[in-house]
Amino acid sequence: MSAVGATAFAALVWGSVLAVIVVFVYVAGSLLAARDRTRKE
Amino acid sequence: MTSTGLALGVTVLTVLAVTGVGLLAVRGRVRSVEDFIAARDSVGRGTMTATVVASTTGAWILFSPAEAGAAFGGLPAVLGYALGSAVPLLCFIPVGRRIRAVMPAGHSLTEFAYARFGPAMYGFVLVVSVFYMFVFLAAEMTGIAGALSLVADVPLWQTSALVGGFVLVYTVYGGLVASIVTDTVQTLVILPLLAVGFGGAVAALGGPAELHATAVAADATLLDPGFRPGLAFGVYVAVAILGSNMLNQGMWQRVYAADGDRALRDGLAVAAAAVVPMVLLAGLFGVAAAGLGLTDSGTASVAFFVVLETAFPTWVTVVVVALAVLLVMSSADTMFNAIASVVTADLARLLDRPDQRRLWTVGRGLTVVVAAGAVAVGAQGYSVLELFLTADLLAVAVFVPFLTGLYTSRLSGGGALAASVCGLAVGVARFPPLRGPLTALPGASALPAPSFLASFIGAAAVAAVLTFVATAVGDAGADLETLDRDVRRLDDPVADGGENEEMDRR
Repeated sequence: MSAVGATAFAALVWGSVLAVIVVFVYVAGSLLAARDRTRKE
Repeated sequence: MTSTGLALGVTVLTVLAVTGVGLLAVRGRVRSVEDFIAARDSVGRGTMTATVVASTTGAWILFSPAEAGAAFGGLPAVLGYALGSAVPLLCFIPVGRRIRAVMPAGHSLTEFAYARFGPAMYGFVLVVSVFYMFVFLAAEMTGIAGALSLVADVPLWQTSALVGGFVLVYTVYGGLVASIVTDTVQTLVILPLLAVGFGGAVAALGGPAELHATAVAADATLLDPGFRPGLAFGVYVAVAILGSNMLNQGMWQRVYAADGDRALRDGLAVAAAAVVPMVLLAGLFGVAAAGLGLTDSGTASVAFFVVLETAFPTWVTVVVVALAVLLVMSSADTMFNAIASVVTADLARLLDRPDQRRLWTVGRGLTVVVAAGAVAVGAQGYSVLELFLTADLLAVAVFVPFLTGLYTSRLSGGGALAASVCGLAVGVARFPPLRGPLTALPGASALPAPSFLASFIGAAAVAAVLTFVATAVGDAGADLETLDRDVRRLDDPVADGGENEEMDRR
């Protein structure tokens, strides 16, 4: 039970760190795409 | 302890950099009061995500979630906080679409309250909304001043004046446009700082397995997902955040700033997905602090910084100071402009033929007044927790009747106000911070035991039930299709007397 709890806790921690990075990539990618669209127009 | 000079130096560099970005980026982009308070249809989904993330995540994420994890119920409290922070953003997807459909030329929630419900409900919504936003702002200034005082012994007034003063400079100049531009930059800096900072901190503390073992050994309830006090905290904090955010003018401004339904939906959904891990990671620091035996009842609110001071070298503290300053600036500029915009938009309605220059002067003047008030309060080092909870309770009692007006023509202003007041009365009767004053009233001994959970849930539930009843039995006959007739864009020649040329010369 403790091993399951520890694994779930680790997944929560590293999953959260990963999620923050994914959002950063999304925001940066969207901003770059918007800039490219504006330049083309 | 980090030296005062170093902490102040980092703070000055951070505020200078953000202010510089804000001033340079908005040059020539703010040509009317409309731009100053609405920035209508100008924001794509990436910027929408960034500005919502930056506006909603202030320095509170370094204090409150960690305090919840350390003192209010461990992991379930933190999970409730994290999910509760995301729910309002998800709610704003359908509600925001509806706001844009019902009142496409609108600017503020109080404009809607007046047009839909009349002056009494408008007054109530105005007081609740401005009170909540100012308390949020004061809490942010108090939080950053307290944090720098704790880690580097910086006097409260210096931090408060420095951060408030610089935010004021670019907000007065560029209004909402400057707020959104700086939000975008701040989010691009904040997210990697959080990921690297929190990830590195967990690793430095021995990794998740070590933290888990330490917390379980110290207090098994810290990580018990079924721990009832933690679950209760998670539920009421989620309701409190939902109510207060639905009355946050900063969010209404961003609903109008989105350049379409897709930007609105994607921006809010991704922001909601971002807020959950951000709050969760911050909250786990509180769990870690409690597990490591670093907190007691007096230091739970600064659990994050206690862990920081104890376990990390100076450079990490410096990074966190910069992060905290960025977090405060991004939400402070939102609140400066949001509070000023409420009054500016109302003034445009109240004055017969307002000209742009007058409205703009009022908008800027109000921004200065709000900033001065926030700086003054932030320098006092007050405990703002009870004020925050009081503002949340007011918002929880009013948000259901208020938003129901977007969807039905049957609910009258009187019905909405009655539902709000009755909900508030039930909430006040169980509200722990008000139990002291209430005991002086006759019959107070018959009041049920105070409880935050019962207070918030009771207020929301009673207001919702009475709203349902008022909608079912009454028929106000409000015409939602014509709500927009009294609300005009502030660069509309009809509204400003056709004097746009005057602004173009500025």
